[in-house]
Amino acid sequence: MTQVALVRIDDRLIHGQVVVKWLRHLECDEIWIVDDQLYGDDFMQSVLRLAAPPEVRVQVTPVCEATRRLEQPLNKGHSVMVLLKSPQAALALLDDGLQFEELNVGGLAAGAGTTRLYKSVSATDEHIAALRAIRNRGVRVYFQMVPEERPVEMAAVLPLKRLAHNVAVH
Amino acid sequence: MDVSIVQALLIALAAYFGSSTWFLGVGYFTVYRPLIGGTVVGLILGDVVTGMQLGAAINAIYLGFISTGGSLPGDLIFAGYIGTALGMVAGLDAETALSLVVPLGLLGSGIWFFRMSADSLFVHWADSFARRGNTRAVAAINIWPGQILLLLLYAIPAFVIVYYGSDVVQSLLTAVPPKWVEGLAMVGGMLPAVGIGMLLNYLAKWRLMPFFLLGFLIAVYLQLPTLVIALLGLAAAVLHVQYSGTLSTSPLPEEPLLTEVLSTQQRKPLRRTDLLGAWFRWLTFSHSCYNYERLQGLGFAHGMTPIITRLYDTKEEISAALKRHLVFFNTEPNVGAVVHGVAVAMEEERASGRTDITDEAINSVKSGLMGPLAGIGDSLTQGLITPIFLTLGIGLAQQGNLAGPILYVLLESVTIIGISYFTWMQGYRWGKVAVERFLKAGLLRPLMEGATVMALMVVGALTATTVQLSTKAAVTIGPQTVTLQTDVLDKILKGLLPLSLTLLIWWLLKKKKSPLTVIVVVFAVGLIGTWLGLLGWG
Repeated sequence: MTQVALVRIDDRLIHGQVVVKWLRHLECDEIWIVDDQLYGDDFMQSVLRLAAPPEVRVQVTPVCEATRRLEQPLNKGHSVMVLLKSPQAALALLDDGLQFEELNVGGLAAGAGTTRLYKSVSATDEHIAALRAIRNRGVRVYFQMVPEERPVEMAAVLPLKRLAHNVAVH
Repeated sequence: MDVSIVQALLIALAAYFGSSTWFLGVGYFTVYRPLIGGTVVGLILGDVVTGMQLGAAINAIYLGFISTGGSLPGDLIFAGYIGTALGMVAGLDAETALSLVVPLGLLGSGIWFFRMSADSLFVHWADSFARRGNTRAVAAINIWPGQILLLLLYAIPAFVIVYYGSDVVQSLLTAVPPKWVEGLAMVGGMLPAVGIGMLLNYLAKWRLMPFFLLGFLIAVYLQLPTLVIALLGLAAAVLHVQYSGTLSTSPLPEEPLLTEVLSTQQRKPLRRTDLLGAWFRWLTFSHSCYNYERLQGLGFAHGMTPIITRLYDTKEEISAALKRHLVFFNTEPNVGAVVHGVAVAMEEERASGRTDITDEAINSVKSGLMGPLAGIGDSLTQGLITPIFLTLGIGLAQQGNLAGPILYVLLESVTIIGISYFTWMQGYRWGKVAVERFLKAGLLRPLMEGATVMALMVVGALTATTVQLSTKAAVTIGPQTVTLQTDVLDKILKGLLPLSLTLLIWWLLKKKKSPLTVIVVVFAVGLIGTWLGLLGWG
């Protein structure tokens, strides 16, 4: 099986923190972006490939194929970073049977109906529900933007914020 | 040296301006850096050369400083401006001052977090003005509240530390046994190796390390001037790119080029001044109200204001356009300026009646492109251009040459502003295809490869001139005393200890030890080594 060095939720996908910090820190040579919408977008796929460092291979797969492809022993000796746009995608991978023990939450944009959880991570109710479901499957969920920063566990971020949000909404 | 109230106030103001938004978007690359901070503080305290040299030494520690997505290790204003001022006023020698700068930088890193959090509140204020279609108020909120907050956050601690801190530092240093003070100076000499090690951890590839060694040897044994070594580095870079085949084999992916180019005839024409106005605002104010919630979102909307007022007439249209651009946005602002240009082109087409350009269409282009361009942009501007020019500036400054900071500011500003203007205008002209054109031209990879070669060579030279480590150990055999440093090490390779230290730190960082751990190790080794009498100057 391919060695997955990091599974990260970051809706900006391949950007400064990933290229300058994580790729070098983990010495990954492949990035797998699991996203249905991007799979159908040739332009963005081309831009993402060109934006990654030349020695790093970028693959874009739809969610339904990701688990099967990540479990194939094709890429022996390679180290892979999996990038996802949302917690729901991570949950879908777990549902498909992909096994990972840790999930890094690095960035989710603020928008309508989101609550800010940690630094530049904001989440909707659906995001939070998915994150909780992932944690309930025994996956360690932690928030960390860059490697030199201390990781913050989900338990430290969510319960309080969730309470505040409930009070504000209901 | 005594510091007057006026001088302390001026330094406090300078500390704010060093982090402010008023320098055409290049403030972060120029006045924010300790090389410039030290020079400015030296000017205020009446000894510009001393300030510049101290600032240059401090900057060497932060050579590998790369901030991405608002995550900042240490604060360069505290390290550069306040550190230089404290060192000069307390009358410390450069090495001792350097050992105080690192804790000072860490002290300041909380300010960044506070600012990024507090600025999130101002964005909501801008939202309420956007609902009413008030473009002027949105622009004003991008500038003023965040900047006033920043003024308070930097100027107050800067004044207090500079005005009252030197007595504290002096009494601390007199209370501590002289052996430990000597140890602190040893630590100060070693610390630049951490900055260089961090840069190596980012830049270095084994196959390119000969260039680092070359730079080091040229500096140690030929003692050529910094500018000459930089030019040799440039020559090496050009030769390397030509002969290594990087130019011809730049791997292009097989995907077909996109042919969708925005048609120019349909446009409701924006004027040249609108375009320049939008670019100028983006360049200058992209990070003015930088915050965790939407990062550059408000800056992006501010940059769009001249376009929105030209294209739309009714309050509803203006309000909708402002809200459209107040969403989350973050990129490297100079290479990523292309995205702002693309958004302007899309707004122009939309206003000219193209109904297929919906809010979602604009937003998906922006949010799709911002990440990849930040990846390229950060590698290029923060990871290559800045360390190369900084190394040149630091080298000249250390020789007491004022051309160091001046040349640095000029080279860096022209390059960064040039990149911003070029990419922005390309984005406006070609739409999102500009990004593909830019990436597929095949120039980027050889450029980055060449820049890495040049950077490694000048940084190798900087290691020789900046990192200091020496042993006092001696062995007495019969009537003869053999001193390890002069009789053994120097005869093998001059600068062997500084070089080994730098490579060792690089190795530790590669082994995923955090920079903070490495700094603690350097302090421990420097202090204990000096106390045991192993380290010291002959």
